[in-house]
Amino acid sequence: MKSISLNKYGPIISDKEVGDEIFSLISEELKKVDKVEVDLKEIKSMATFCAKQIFGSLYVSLGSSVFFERVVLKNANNDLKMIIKIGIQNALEN
Amino acid sequence: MSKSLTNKRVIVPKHFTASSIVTFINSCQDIFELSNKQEKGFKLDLMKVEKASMLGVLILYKVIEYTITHNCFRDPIIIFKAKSEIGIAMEKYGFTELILAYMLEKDKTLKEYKKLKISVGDNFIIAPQALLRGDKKSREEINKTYLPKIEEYYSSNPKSVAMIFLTFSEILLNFWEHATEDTKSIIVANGNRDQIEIACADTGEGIVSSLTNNIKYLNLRERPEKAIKKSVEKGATSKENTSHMGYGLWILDQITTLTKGRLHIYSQGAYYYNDYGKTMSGKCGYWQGTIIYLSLPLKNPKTLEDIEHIDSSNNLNINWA
Repeated sequence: MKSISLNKYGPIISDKEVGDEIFSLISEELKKVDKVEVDLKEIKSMATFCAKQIFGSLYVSLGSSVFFERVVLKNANNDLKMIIKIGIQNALEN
Repeated sequence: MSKSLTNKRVIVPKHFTASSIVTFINSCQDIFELSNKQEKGFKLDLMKVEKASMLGVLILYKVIEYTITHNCFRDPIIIFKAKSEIGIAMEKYGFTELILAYMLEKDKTLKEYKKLKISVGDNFIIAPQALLRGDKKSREEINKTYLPKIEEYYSSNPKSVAMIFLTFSEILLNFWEHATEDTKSIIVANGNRDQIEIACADTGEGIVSSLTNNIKYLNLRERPEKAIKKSVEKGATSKENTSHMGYGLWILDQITTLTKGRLHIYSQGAYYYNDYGKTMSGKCGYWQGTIIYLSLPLKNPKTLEDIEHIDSSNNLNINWA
């Protein structure tokens, strides 16, 4: 399992370019390893747009079971969990 | 129809606060049709101002920045005294040198943006931050310097920090994504232990034209007061089937209602107010782009988990370690 820390992007992610960068970072690692652990410790908040852009896109492209098996989200605070769930939910509805 | 402000004097309101922004926009809306016109004899009169808030100073800066950058006037005159209330307010919120640079030494404006700094006292934090499109360093500074200082100031109240960062996330995203024609703006916060104000003004693509680019809302294009009201509804977005969700302004509005705060939005001939949970929208003068003003009490801060009926399905397969 590869661990990816998003600390350097914190404390908030509110920028499409950063969202693209994080999405690419995770996607590239998923090509190399079976499982990626994304550490969100220093991320205090995230625009809902970025949650959809990063995690919604991954969830849709991988499918729910594979997303669960291969992407671990670590140290997300409750607000962040909700933002990520909103982003994924919305991506599924599109 | 071509507009003219030749030999016109725009008088800034006596109490230049959130309550009088409409009056000011009404009086200066024609600037947005004067790009490269170099009209003569324009005067911006600040002498009547007896009180100016953070939002008033921000809007004043933005008008000056826009008119200078777009060559609206030839030799415009700003009438004010340094030791007047407006001069003191400009100094307090950190805008004096930047505004003077626009008026006197345009080449130095970039340098002045980078000198904007946070002031922290025993019972206040004033935090202006440049939003310079295309300047990666200044964008990184928001996360590396600006927000950590706000977090530190409110460190005794983590839920306030969560609420403030949630609103910053959505306001900044809105600016970077929608105000694409605006290269130099400022987001500014002014807070104490009891409340925080956050304001951002841009002269890029406004909410009304952006939202009504969606064919679903095309019928609102000529009714900006309806479009701006629609923009705070959950799921109202200009770009469906993209990463845009139409949640940003809705979240700001919900947090405002729950905390009994104030949210004011101005864009392209319309305003939307949420004052302590009571909402209204209407027509006003034309502001090219969007102004967002948020004032939140911190006594009982709210975050996403406090918003009812939010779509956060528990049926998703997410591996939270």
